[in-house]
Amino acid sequence: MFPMFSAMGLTQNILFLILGASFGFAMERGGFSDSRNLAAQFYFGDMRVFKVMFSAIVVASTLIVAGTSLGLINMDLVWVNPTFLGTAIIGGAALGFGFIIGGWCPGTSLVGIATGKLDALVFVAGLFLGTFLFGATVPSFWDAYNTWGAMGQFTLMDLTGMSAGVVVISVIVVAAIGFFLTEKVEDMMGERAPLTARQLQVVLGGTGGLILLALVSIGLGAPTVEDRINLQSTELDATLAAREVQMDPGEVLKLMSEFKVPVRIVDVRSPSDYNMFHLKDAEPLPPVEEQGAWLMGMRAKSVVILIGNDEDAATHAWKELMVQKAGKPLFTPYILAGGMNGWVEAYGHHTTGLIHQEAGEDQFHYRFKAPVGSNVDLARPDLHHAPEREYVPKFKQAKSGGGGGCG
Amino acid sequence: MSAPTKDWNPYVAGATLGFVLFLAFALTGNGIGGSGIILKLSTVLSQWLNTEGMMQNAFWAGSVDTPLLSLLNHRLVWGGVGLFLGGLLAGLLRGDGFKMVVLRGPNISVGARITLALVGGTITGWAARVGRGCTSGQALSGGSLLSVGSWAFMLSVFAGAYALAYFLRRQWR
Repeated sequence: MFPMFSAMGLTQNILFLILGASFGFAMERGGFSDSRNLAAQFYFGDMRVFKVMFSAIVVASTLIVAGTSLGLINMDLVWVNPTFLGTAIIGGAALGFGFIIGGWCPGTSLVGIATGKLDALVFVAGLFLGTFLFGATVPSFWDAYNTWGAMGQFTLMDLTGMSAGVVVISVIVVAAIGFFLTEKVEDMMGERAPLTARQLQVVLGGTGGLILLALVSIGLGAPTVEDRINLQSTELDATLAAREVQMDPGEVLKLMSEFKVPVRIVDVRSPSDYNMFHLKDAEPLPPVEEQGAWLMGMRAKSVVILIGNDEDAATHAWKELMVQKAGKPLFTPYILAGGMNGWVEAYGHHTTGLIHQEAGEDQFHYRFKAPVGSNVDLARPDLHHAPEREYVPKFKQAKSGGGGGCG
Repeated sequence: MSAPTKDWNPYVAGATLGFVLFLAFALTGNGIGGSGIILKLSTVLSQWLNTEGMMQNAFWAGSVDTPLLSLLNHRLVWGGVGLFLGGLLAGLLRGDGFKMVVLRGPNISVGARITLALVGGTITGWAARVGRGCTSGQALSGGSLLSVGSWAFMLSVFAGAYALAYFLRRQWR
Protein backbone atom coordinates (compact mmCIF):
# COMPACT_ATOMS: atom_id res chain seq x y z
CA MET A 1 0.00 0.00 0.00
CA PHE A 2 1.44 3.38 -1.09
CA PRO A 3 2.72 5.82 0.08
CA MET A 4 4.79 3.70 2.44
CA PHE A 5 7.38 6.31 3.42
CA SER A 6 5.09 9.16 4.40
CA ALA A 7 6.85 9.80 7.71
CA MET A 8 9.79 12.20 7.83
CA GLY A 9 13.03 10.43 8.54
CA LEU A 10 16.18 8.99 7.04
CA THR A 11 14.41 6.87 4.41
CA GLN A 12 12.35 9.83 3.24
CA ASN A 13 15.44 12.05 3.10
CA ILE A 14 17.34 9.56 0.96
CA LEU A 15 14.32 9.11 -1.28
CA PHE A 16 14.06 12.86 -1.77
CA LEU A 17 17.74 13.09 -2.63
CA ILE A 18 17.21 10.49 -5.37
CA LEU A 19 13.86 11.90 -6.52
CA GLY A 20 15.23 15.45 -6.54
CA ALA A 21 18.28 14.33 -8.51
CA SER A 22 16.10 12.55 -11.09
CA PHE A 23 13.95 15.64 -11.32
CA GLY A 24 16.98 17.90 -11.76
CA PHE A 25 18.48 15.55 -14.35
CA ALA A 26 15.28 15.56 -16.43
CA MET A 27 15.02 19.35 -16.10
CA GLU A 28 18.53 19.80 -17.42
CA ARG A 29 17.93 17.41 -20.30
CA GLY A 30 14.68 19.20 -21.06
CA GLY A 31 16.75 22.31 -21.67
CA PHE A 32 15.65 24.03 -18.46
CA SER A 33 19.22 24.88 -17.47
CA ASP A 34 19.15 27.71 -20.00
CA SER A 35 17.24 30.87 -19.09
CA ARG A 36 16.96 31.78 -22.79
CA ASN A 37 14.99 28.58 -23.43
CA LEU A 38 12.72 29.41 -20.51
CA ALA A 39 12.10 32.98 -21.62
CA ALA A 40 11.52 31.92 -25.25
CA GLN A 41 8.15 30.51 -24.18
CA PHE A 42 6.87 34.05 -23.81
CA TYR A 43 8.00 35.13 -27.27
CA PHE A 44 6.42 32.09 -28.96
CA GLY A 45 9.78 30.98 -30.39
CA ASP A 46 10.32 27.81 -28.37
CA MET A 47 7.41 26.83 -26.16
CA ARG A 48 9.03 23.98 -24.29
CA VAL A 49 8.04 25.37 -20.89
CA PHE A 50 4.40 24.72 -21.70
CA LYS A 51 5.12 21.35 -23.31
CA VAL A 52 7.27 20.06 -20.45
CA MET A 53 4.96 21.30 -17.68
CA PHE A 54 1.78 19.95 -19.18
CA SER A 55 3.34 16.61 -20.18
CA ALA A 56 4.52 16.27 -16.59
CA ILE A 57 1.08 17.09 -15.19
CA VAL A 58 -0.87 14.72 -17.43
CA VAL A 59 1.53 11.85 -16.76
CA ALA A 60 1.66 12.37 -12.99
CA SER A 61 -2.07 13.02 -12.55
CA THR A 62 -3.15 10.05 -14.69
CA LEU A 63 -0.83 7.66 -12.85
CA ILE A 64 -1.99 8.96 -9.47
CA VAL A 65 -5.69 8.72 -10.32
CA ALA A 66 -5.28 5.25 -11.85
CA GLY A 67 -3.19 4.09 -8.89
CA THR A 68 -5.89 5.33 -6.51
CA SER A 69 -8.68 3.57 -8.39
CA LEU A 70 -6.68 0.34 -8.42
CA GLY A 71 -6.41 0.60 -4.64
CA LEU A 72 -2.62 0.94 -4.72
CA ILE A 73 -2.36 4.52 -3.52
CA ASN A 74 -4.04 5.82 -0.40
CA MET A 75 -4.77 9.47 -1.25
CA ASP A 76 -5.59 10.14 2.39
CA LEU A 77 -1.86 10.00 3.08
CA VAL A 78 -0.93 12.29 0.18
CA TRP A 79 -0.53 15.99 0.99
CA VAL A 80 -2.69 17.92 -1.47
CA ASN A 81 -1.84 21.63 -1.70
CA PRO A 82 -4.76 23.43 -0.05
CA THR A 83 -6.42 26.14 -2.12
CA PHE A 84 -5.88 29.78 -1.20
CA LEU A 85 -7.33 31.32 -4.34
CA GLY A 86 -6.38 34.94 -3.62
CA THR A 87 -2.74 34.34 -2.81
CA ALA A 88 -2.48 31.73 -5.58
CA ILE A 89 -3.44 34.36 -8.17
CA ILE A 90 -1.35 37.19 -6.69
CA GLY A 91 1.64 34.95 -5.96
CA GLY A 92 1.33 33.25 -9.34
CA ALA A 93 1.20 36.51 -11.30
CA ALA A 94 4.12 37.93 -9.31
CA LEU A 95 6.10 34.75 -9.91
CA GLY A 96 5.34 35.17 -13.62
CA PHE A 97 6.79 38.71 -13.45
CA GLY A 98 9.87 37.42 -11.66
CA PHE A 99 10.20 34.60 -14.20
CA ILE A 100 10.32 36.84 -17.28
CA ILE A 101 12.44 39.52 -15.56
CA GLY A 102 14.90 37.11 -13.97
CA GLY A 103 14.79 34.31 -16.52
CA TRP A 104 14.46 31.50 -13.98
CA CYS A 105 12.12 29.98 -11.46
CA PRO A 106 13.37 28.55 -8.14
CA GLY A 107 13.75 24.93 -9.27
CA THR A 108 15.37 25.71 -12.61
CA SER A 109 17.74 28.24 -11.02
CA LEU A 110 19.24 25.49 -8.84
CA VAL A 111 19.88 23.44 -11.97
CA GLY A 112 21.20 26.62 -13.60
CA ILE A 113 23.80 27.13 -10.86
CA ALA A 114 24.79 23.46 -11.10
CA THR A 115 25.58 24.00 -14.78
CA GLY A 116 27.59 27.17 -14.28
CA LYS A 117 25.03 29.89 -15.05
CA LEU A 118 26.04 33.04 -13.16
CA ASP A 119 22.69 34.71 -13.82
CA ALA A 120 21.10 31.77 -11.97
CA LEU A 121 23.45 32.34 -9.02
CA VAL A 122 22.40 35.98 -8.82
CA PHE A 123 18.75 34.96 -9.22
CA VAL A 124 19.06 32.64 -6.20
CA ALA A 125 20.59 35.47 -4.17
CA GLY A 126 17.42 37.36 -5.12
CA LEU A 127 15.29 34.45 -3.92
CA PHE A 128 16.77 34.83 -0.44
CA LEU A 129 16.19 38.60 -0.52
CA GLY A 130 12.62 37.98 -1.65
CA THR A 131 11.99 35.48 1.13
CA PHE A 132 13.13 38.05 3.69
CA LEU A 133 11.10 40.72 1.92
CA PHE A 134 8.08 38.47 2.33
CA GLY A 135 8.86 38.05 6.04
CA ALA A 136 9.06 41.81 6.38
CA THR A 137 5.89 42.60 4.44
CA VAL A 138 3.56 39.74 5.36
CA PRO A 139 2.43 41.15 8.73
CA SER A 140 0.71 43.95 6.81
CA PHE A 141 -1.46 41.43 4.96
CA TRP A 142 -1.38 38.48 7.34
CA ASP A 143 -5.16 38.10 7.59
CA ALA A 144 -5.65 38.31 3.84
CA TYR A 145 -2.77 35.87 3.36
CA ASN A 146 -4.57 33.27 5.44
CA THR A 147 -8.17 33.93 4.48
CA TRP A 148 -8.52 35.25 0.91
CA GLY A 149 -10.16 32.48 -1.04
CA ALA A 150 -9.08 29.91 1.57
CA MET A 151 -11.00 26.80 0.59
CA GLY A 152 -8.99 24.02 2.21
CA GLN A 153 -8.31 20.96 0.12
CA PHE A 154 -10.34 21.77 -2.99
CA THR A 155 -9.79 19.91 -6.24
CA LEU A 156 -11.04 20.18 -9.81
CA MET A 157 -13.27 17.19 -8.93
CA ASP A 158 -14.88 19.21 -6.12
CA LEU A 159 -15.19 22.22 -8.42
CA THR A 160 -16.82 20.39 -11.33
CA GLY A 161 -18.55 17.51 -9.57
CA MET A 162 -16.91 15.15 -12.09
CA SER A 163 -15.03 11.99 -11.15
CA ALA A 164 -11.23 12.04 -11.08
CA GLY A 165 -11.05 9.90 -14.23
CA VAL A 166 -13.23 12.31 -16.22
CA VAL A 167 -11.25 15.33 -14.96
CA VAL A 168 -7.98 13.66 -15.98
CA ILE A 169 -9.27 12.85 -19.47
CA SER A 170 -10.40 16.47 -19.83
CA VAL A 171 -6.94 17.66 -18.79
CA ILE A 172 -5.31 15.29 -21.30
CA VAL A 173 -7.58 16.53 -24.09
CA VAL A 174 -6.95 20.20 -23.23
CA ALA A 175 -3.19 19.53 -23.07
CA ALA A 176 -3.26 17.71 -26.43
CA ILE A 177 -5.08 20.65 -28.05
CA GLY A 178 -2.53 22.95 -26.42
CA PHE A 179 0.38 20.86 -27.76
CA PHE A 180 -1.12 20.92 -31.26
CA LEU A 181 -1.53 24.72 -31.21
CA THR A 182 1.96 25.17 -29.74
CA GLU A 183 3.52 23.15 -32.54
CA LYS A 184 1.61 25.24 -35.10
CA VAL A 185 2.77 28.51 -33.53
CA GLU A 186 6.39 27.28 -33.40
CA ASP A 187 6.16 26.28 -37.07
CA MET A 188 5.00 29.79 -37.91
CA MET A 189 7.87 31.37 -35.95
CA GLY A 190 10.30 28.99 -37.61
CA GLU A 191 12.82 29.04 -34.73
CA ARG A 192 12.50 25.36 -33.89
CA ALA A 193 12.61 22.31 -36.10
CA PRO A 194 9.17 20.69 -36.43
CA LEU A 195 8.53 17.35 -34.70
CA THR A 196 9.90 14.37 -36.56
CA ALA A 197 7.51 11.55 -37.48
CA ARG A 198 9.12 9.43 -34.76
CA GLN A 199 8.59 12.12 -32.08
CA LEU A 200 5.00 12.54 -33.18
CA GLN A 201 4.46 8.79 -32.79
CA VAL A 202 5.86 8.91 -29.26
CA VAL A 203 3.61 11.82 -28.29
CA LEU A 204 0.46 10.29 -29.80
CA GLY A 205 1.22 6.85 -28.37
CA GLY A 206 1.84 8.30 -24.93
CA THR A 207 -1.36 10.33 -25.03
CA GLY A 208 -3.34 7.27 -26.09
CA GLY A 209 -1.83 5.22 -23.26
CA LEU A 210 -2.73 7.86 -20.69
CA ILE A 211 -6.31 8.08 -21.94
CA LEU A 212 -6.60 4.29 -21.69
CA LEU A 213 -5.36 4.41 -18.09
CA ALA A 214 -7.85 7.16 -17.27
CA LEU A 215 -10.65 5.07 -18.83
CA VAL A 216 -9.64 2.11 -16.65
CA SER A 217 -9.87 4.43 -13.67
CA ILE A 218 -13.36 5.56 -14.71
CA GLY A 219 -14.40 1.92 -15.12
CA LEU A 220 -13.16 1.04 -11.63
CA GLY A 221 -14.48 4.21 -10.04
CA ALA A 222 -12.97 5.98 -7.07
CA PRO A 223 -12.65 3.85 -3.95
CA THR A 224 -15.65 4.13 -1.63
CA VAL A 225 -15.31 4.95 2.06
CA GLU A 226 -15.71 1.21 2.80
CA ASP A 227 -12.91 0.40 0.30
CA ARG A 228 -10.68 2.95 1.97
CA ILE A 229 -11.44 1.51 5.41
CA ASN A 230 -10.43 -1.93 4.14
CA LEU A 231 -7.25 -0.50 2.61
CA GLN A 232 -6.23 1.03 5.92
CA SER A 233 -7.59 -1.71 8.16
CA THR A 234 -4.16 -2.72 9.48
CA GLU A 235 -3.31 0.73 10.87
CA LEU A 236 -6.86 1.46 12.03
CA ASP A 237 -7.29 -1.87 13.79
CA ALA A 238 -3.92 -1.48 15.50
CA THR A 239 -4.96 1.90 16.94
CA LEU A 240 -8.28 0.44 18.07
CA ALA A 241 -6.72 -2.69 19.56
CA ALA A 242 -4.29 -0.55 21.57
CA ARG A 243 -7.36 1.39 22.82
CA GLU A 244 -5.65 4.67 21.94
CA VAL A 245 -8.88 6.47 21.08
CA GLN A 246 -11.47 4.92 23.40
CA MET A 247 -12.08 7.58 26.01
CA ASP A 248 -13.34 6.83 29.50
CA PRO A 249 -16.63 8.56 30.47
CA GLY A 250 -14.62 10.43 33.10
CA GLU A 251 -12.34 12.03 30.53
CA VAL A 252 -15.24 12.80 28.20
CA LEU A 253 -17.08 14.55 31.03
CA LYS A 254 -13.94 16.52 31.88
CA LEU A 255 -13.48 17.70 28.27
CA MET A 256 -17.20 18.56 28.00
CA SER A 257 -17.11 20.57 31.21
CA GLU A 258 -13.86 22.49 30.88
CA PHE A 259 -14.31 24.19 27.48
CA LYS A 260 -10.54 24.22 26.96
CA VAL A 261 -10.81 22.62 23.52
CA PRO A 262 -13.66 22.74 20.99
CA VAL A 263 -15.47 19.46 21.77
CA ARG A 264 -18.05 18.06 19.38
CA ILE A 265 -20.20 15.32 20.87
CA VAL A 266 -21.42 13.24 17.94
CA ASP A 267 -24.16 10.69 18.45
CA VAL A 268 -24.11 7.74 16.03
CA ARG A 269 -27.25 6.00 17.42
CA SER A 270 -30.73 5.77 15.92
CA PRO A 271 -32.98 8.87 15.99
CA SER A 272 -35.26 7.19 18.55
CA ASP A 273 -32.34 6.50 20.92
CA TYR A 274 -31.16 10.08 20.37
CA ASN A 275 -34.59 11.46 21.24
CA MET A 276 -34.90 9.22 24.26
CA PHE A 277 -31.63 10.52 25.73
CA HIS A 278 -28.41 12.11 24.50
CA LEU A 279 -25.48 13.96 25.97
CA LYS A 280 -25.52 17.74 26.28
CA ASP A 281 -25.00 19.50 22.92
CA ALA A 282 -24.77 16.18 21.09
CA GLU A 283 -25.31 16.32 17.34
CA PRO A 284 -26.26 13.38 15.14
CA LEU A 285 -23.56 11.98 12.82
CA PRO A 286 -24.26 13.03 9.20
CA PRO A 287 -24.78 10.21 6.67
CA VAL A 288 -21.54 8.95 5.14
CA GLU A 289 -21.94 10.84 1.84
CA GLU A 290 -22.19 14.15 3.72
CA GLN A 291 -19.33 13.53 6.14
CA GLY A 292 -16.66 14.92 3.79
CA ALA A 293 -18.29 18.36 3.65
CA TRP A 294 -19.06 18.20 7.37
CA LEU A 295 -15.41 17.50 8.17
CA MET A 296 -14.32 20.28 5.82
CA GLY A 297 -16.35 22.82 7.79
CA MET A 298 -14.98 21.72 11.13
CA ARG A 299 -12.45 23.77 13.10
CA ALA A 300 -8.95 22.36 12.68
CA LYS A 301 -8.44 21.30 16.29
CA SER A 302 -11.95 20.07 17.03
CA VAL A 303 -12.19 17.07 19.33
CA VAL A 304 -14.94 14.81 18.06
CA ILE A 305 -16.22 12.20 20.49
CA LEU A 306 -18.40 9.50 18.96
CA ILE A 307 -21.18 8.10 21.11
CA GLY A 308 -22.81 4.71 20.47
CA ASN A 309 -24.82 2.48 22.76
CA ASP A 310 -21.84 0.16 23.14
CA GLU A 311 -18.79 0.59 20.90
CA ASP A 312 -19.54 -1.20 17.62
CA ALA A 313 -21.39 1.53 15.73
CA ALA A 314 -19.12 4.25 17.13
CA THR A 315 -16.04 2.27 16.10
CA HIS A 316 -17.32 1.99 12.54
CA ALA A 317 -18.12 5.71 12.47
CA TRP A 318 -14.60 6.37 13.78
CA LYS A 319 -13.15 4.42 10.84
CA GLU A 320 -15.32 6.37 8.39
CA LEU A 321 -14.05 9.67 9.76
CA MET A 322 -10.43 8.52 9.92
CA VAL A 323 -10.28 7.71 6.21
CA GLN A 324 -12.01 10.95 5.24
CA LYS A 325 -10.10 13.39 7.39
CA ALA A 326 -7.48 14.15 4.70
CA GLY A 327 -6.18 17.67 4.99
CA LYS A 328 -7.02 17.78 8.71
CA PRO A 329 -3.88 16.32 10.26
CA LEU A 330 -4.67 17.93 13.61
CA PHE A 331 -8.05 16.30 13.90
CA THR A 332 -8.55 12.96 15.65
CA PRO A 333 -11.94 11.50 16.49
CA TYR A 334 -12.41 9.56 19.74
CA ILE A 335 -14.90 6.96 20.88
CA LEU A 336 -16.79 7.02 24.19
CA ALA A 337 -15.49 3.84 25.85
CA GLY A 338 -18.40 1.60 26.83
CA GLY A 339 -20.80 3.83 24.92
CA MET A 340 -23.98 5.27 26.35
CA ASN A 341 -24.56 2.12 28.39
CA GLY A 342 -21.21 2.68 30.08
CA TRP A 343 -22.05 6.34 30.61
CA VAL A 344 -25.29 5.49 32.41
CA GLU A 345 -23.51 2.88 34.52
CA ALA A 346 -20.93 5.51 35.49
CA TYR A 347 -23.19 8.44 36.24
CA GLY A 348 -26.84 7.23 36.25
CA HIS A 349 -27.22 5.89 39.78
CA HIS A 350 -29.39 8.70 41.08
CA THR A 351 -31.16 9.63 37.87
CA THR A 352 -34.91 9.56 38.38
CA GLY A 353 -37.17 7.92 35.84
CA LEU A 354 -34.40 5.80 34.38
CA ILE A 355 -35.52 2.23 33.69
CA HIS A 356 -33.22 -0.68 32.94
CA GLN A 357 -34.35 -2.89 30.07
CA GLU A 358 -33.10 -6.07 28.46
CA ALA A 359 -31.55 -5.32 25.07
CA GLY A 360 -29.04 -6.83 22.67
CA GLU A 361 -25.51 -5.77 21.83
CA ASP A 362 -25.01 -2.13 20.81
CA GLN A 363 -28.56 -1.30 21.88
CA PHE A 364 -29.58 1.04 24.69
CA HIS A 365 -30.05 -0.91 27.91
CA TYR A 366 -32.06 1.89 29.52
CA ARG A 367 -35.06 4.04 28.81
CA PHE A 368 -37.01 6.85 30.36
CA LYS A 369 -40.77 6.83 30.72
CA ALA A 370 -40.89 9.54 28.10
CA PRO A 371 -38.07 10.82 25.89
CA VAL A 372 -35.94 13.39 27.73
CA GLY A 373 -33.41 14.40 25.10
CA SER A 374 -30.67 16.15 27.08
CA ASN A 375 -32.95 17.69 29.70
CA VAL A 376 -31.54 15.65 32.59
CA ASP A 377 -28.41 16.08 34.69
CA LEU A 378 -27.16 12.81 33.28
CA ALA A 379 -26.64 14.56 29.93
CA ARG A 380 -23.73 16.41 31.56
CA PRO A 381 -23.38 15.75 35.25
CA ASP A 382 -21.69 18.40 37.35
CA LEU A 383 -18.00 17.55 37.15
CA HIS A 384 -17.42 18.28 40.84
CA HIS A 385 -20.26 16.14 42.15
CA ALA A 386 -20.05 13.28 39.72
CA PRO A 387 -18.43 10.06 40.95
CA GLU A 388 -14.69 10.25 40.42
CA ARG A 389 -13.23 7.77 37.98
CA GLU A 390 -9.75 6.45 37.44
CA TYR A 391 -8.71 6.30 33.83
CA VAL A 392 -5.79 6.62 31.44
CA PRO A 393 -6.26 9.92 29.54
CA LYS A 394 -6.44 9.41 25.78
CA PHE A 395 -6.74 12.99 24.58
CA LYS A 396 -3.60 14.28 22.88
CA GLN A 397 -3.23 18.01 22.40
CA ALA A 398 -2.91 18.60 18.66
CA LYS A 399 0.40 20.14 17.71
CA SER A 400 0.47 22.95 15.17
CA GLY A 401 2.86 22.94 12.28
CA GLY A 402 2.91 19.60 10.51
CA GLY A 403 1.38 18.91 7.14
CA GLY A 404 4.07 20.71 5.20
CA GLY A 405 4.77 20.27 1.56
CA CYS A 406 5.23 23.84 0.46
CA GLY A 407 7.73 23.99 -2.24
CA MET B 1 35.50 13.34 -28.61
CA SER B 2 31.85 12.66 -29.26
CA ALA B 3 29.35 15.44 -29.89
CA PRO B 4 27.66 16.95 -26.83
CA THR B 5 24.33 15.34 -25.86
CA LYS B 6 21.34 17.19 -27.26
CA ASP B 7 18.26 18.21 -25.29
CA TRP B 8 15.57 15.58 -24.99
CA ASN B 9 12.31 15.98 -26.84
CA PRO B 10 10.33 18.28 -24.46
CA TYR B 11 7.44 15.80 -24.26
CA VAL B 12 9.81 13.05 -23.15
CA ALA B 13 11.47 15.36 -20.62
CA GLY B 14 8.03 16.35 -19.33
CA ALA B 15 6.82 12.77 -19.11
CA THR B 16 9.99 11.87 -17.18
CA LEU B 17 9.39 14.73 -14.74
CA GLY B 18 5.79 13.57 -14.39
CA PHE B 19 6.85 10.01 -13.68
CA VAL B 20 9.35 11.15 -11.02
CA LEU B 21 6.63 13.32 -9.48
CA PHE B 22 4.28 10.34 -9.45
CA LEU B 23 6.96 8.26 -7.70
CA ALA B 24 7.38 11.01 -5.12
CA PHE B 25 3.66 10.98 -4.33
CA ALA B 26 3.38 7.20 -4.43
CA LEU B 27 6.39 6.61 -2.17
CA THR B 28 6.32 9.56 0.22
CA GLY B 29 2.93 11.25 -0.11
CA ASN B 30 4.61 14.55 -1.03
CA GLY B 31 5.53 16.32 -4.25
CA ILE B 32 8.84 17.92 -5.19
CA GLY B 33 9.60 21.58 -4.51
CA GLY B 34 12.22 24.01 -5.71
CA SER B 35 11.82 26.95 -3.34
CA GLY B 36 11.51 24.82 -0.20
CA ILE B 37 15.27 24.63 0.36
CA ILE B 38 15.51 28.42 0.01
CA LEU B 39 12.83 28.77 2.69
CA LYS B 40 14.56 26.32 5.02
CA LEU B 41 17.95 28.03 4.61
CA SER B 42 16.31 31.44 5.13
CA THR B 43 14.83 30.13 8.35
CA VAL B 44 18.30 29.45 9.72
CA LEU B 45 19.69 32.70 8.30
CA SER B 46 16.89 34.66 9.95
CA GLN B 47 18.14 33.59 13.37
CA TRP B 48 21.65 34.81 12.69
CA LEU B 49 20.30 38.15 11.51
CA ASN B 50 17.59 38.24 14.17
CA THR B 51 17.17 41.98 13.99
CA GLU B 52 15.13 43.56 16.72
CA GLY B 53 11.52 42.51 16.65
CA MET B 54 12.01 40.36 13.58
CA MET B 55 11.21 37.09 15.26
CA GLN B 56 7.96 38.39 16.72
CA ASN B 57 6.62 38.52 13.20
CA ALA B 58 4.01 35.87 12.43
CA PHE B 59 6.03 34.46 9.54
CA TRP B 60 9.36 34.05 11.33
CA ALA B 61 7.92 33.21 14.73
CA GLY B 62 7.62 29.55 13.79
CA SER B 63 11.33 29.40 13.02
CA VAL B 64 12.65 30.67 16.37
CA ASP B 65 15.22 28.22 17.74
CA THR B 66 15.37 26.07 14.64
CA PRO B 67 18.60 24.16 15.18
CA LEU B 68 21.04 24.31 12.30
CA LEU B 69 21.17 20.53 12.19
CA SER B 70 17.40 20.30 11.67
CA LEU B 71 18.18 21.29 8.10
CA LEU B 72 19.65 17.84 7.65
CA ASN B 73 16.35 16.22 8.51
CA HIS B 74 13.97 17.83 6.06
CA ARG B 75 12.85 16.42 2.74
CA LEU B 76 12.69 19.92 1.17
CA VAL B 77 16.41 20.36 1.85
CA TRP B 78 17.35 16.90 0.54
CA GLY B 79 15.09 17.39 -2.48
CA GLY B 80 16.76 20.73 -3.23
CA VAL B 81 20.25 19.25 -2.87
CA GLY B 82 19.15 16.40 -5.14
CA LEU B 83 17.84 18.86 -7.72
CA PHE B 84 21.24 20.56 -7.76
CA LEU B 85 23.20 17.30 -7.99
CA GLY B 86 20.93 15.92 -10.71
CA GLY B 87 21.43 19.08 -12.74
CA LEU B 88 25.18 18.93 -12.16
CA LEU B 89 25.37 15.30 -13.27
CA ALA B 90 23.27 15.92 -16.37
CA GLY B 91 25.42 18.94 -17.23
CA LEU B 92 28.69 17.06 -16.81
CA LEU B 93 27.46 14.08 -18.83
CA ARG B 94 26.64 16.30 -21.77
CA GLY B 95 30.28 16.18 -22.68
CA ASP B 96 30.82 19.82 -23.61
CA GLY B 97 32.67 20.78 -20.44
CA PHE B 98 31.74 23.06 -17.57
CA LYS B 99 31.76 26.79 -18.35
CA MET B 100 30.72 29.74 -16.23
CA VAL B 101 28.47 31.95 -18.33
CA VAL B 102 25.91 34.71 -18.02
CA LEU B 103 23.02 33.75 -20.25
CA ARG B 104 21.42 36.70 -22.05
CA GLY B 105 19.91 37.82 -25.32
CA PRO B 106 22.09 39.40 -28.03
CA ASN B 107 21.10 42.98 -27.21
CA ILE B 108 21.75 43.31 -23.49
CA SER B 109 24.91 43.94 -21.44
CA VAL B 110 26.13 41.54 -18.76
CA GLY B 111 25.59 44.20 -16.09
CA ALA B 112 22.00 44.82 -17.09
CA ARG B 113 21.26 41.09 -17.30
CA ILE B 114 22.73 40.46 -13.83
CA THR B 115 20.70 43.36 -12.40
CA LEU B 116 17.50 41.99 -13.91
CA ALA B 117 18.31 38.49 -12.65
CA LEU B 118 18.63 39.90 -9.11
CA VAL B 119 15.40 41.91 -9.40
CA GLY B 120 13.55 38.94 -10.90
CA GLY B 121 14.90 36.61 -8.24
CA THR B 122 13.76 38.95 -5.47
CA ILE B 123 10.24 39.21 -6.91
CA THR B 124 10.16 35.44 -7.39
CA GLY B 125 11.33 34.80 -3.83
CA TRP B 126 8.53 37.00 -2.51
CA ALA B 127 6.00 35.47 -4.89
CA ALA B 128 6.89 31.88 -4.01
CA ARG B 129 6.06 32.59 -0.38
CA VAL B 130 2.85 34.47 -1.19
CA GLY B 131 1.76 31.63 -3.45
CA ARG B 132 2.91 28.98 -0.94
CA GLY B 133 5.20 27.31 -3.45
CA CYS B 134 6.75 27.80 -6.85
CA THR B 135 6.53 26.30 -10.29
CA SER B 136 7.57 22.90 -8.91
CA GLY B 137 5.97 22.60 -5.50
CA GLN B 138 2.78 24.47 -6.28
CA ALA B 139 2.13 24.43 -10.05
CA LEU B 140 3.49 20.98 -10.97
CA SER B 141 2.97 19.07 -7.72
CA GLY B 142 -0.39 20.59 -6.78
CA GLY B 143 -1.44 20.72 -10.43
CA SER B 144 -0.87 16.97 -10.74
CA LEU B 145 -3.12 16.42 -7.72
CA LEU B 146 -5.71 18.59 -9.52
CA SER B 147 -5.82 21.19 -6.73
CA VAL B 148 -7.82 24.23 -7.83
CA GLY B 149 -5.44 26.64 -6.09
CA SER B 150 -2.42 25.14 -7.88
CA TRP B 151 -4.11 25.48 -11.26
CA ALA B 152 -5.04 29.09 -10.52
CA PHE B 153 -1.40 29.65 -9.52
CA MET B 154 -0.04 28.05 -12.70
CA LEU B 155 -2.33 29.96 -15.05
CA SER B 156 -1.43 33.17 -13.20
CA VAL B 157 2.29 32.46 -13.71
CA PHE B 158 1.78 32.22 -17.47
CA ALA B 159 -0.50 35.28 -17.49
CA GLY B 160 2.00 37.34 -15.46
CA ALA B 161 4.97 36.41 -17.62
CA TYR B 162 3.13 37.01 -20.90
CA ALA B 163 1.88 40.36 -19.59
CA LEU B 164 5.43 41.65 -19.01
CA ALA B 165 7.17 39.85 -21.88
CA TYR B 166 6.78 42.71 -24.36
CA PHE B 167 8.52 45.17 -22.05
CA LEU B 168 11.45 42.83 -21.52
CA ARG B 169 12.00 41.81 -25.12
CA ARG B 170 15.32 43.64 -25.25
CA GLN B 171 16.67 41.29 -22.59
CA TRP B 172 15.97 38.12 -24.54
CA ARG B 173 15.52 38.82 -28.26
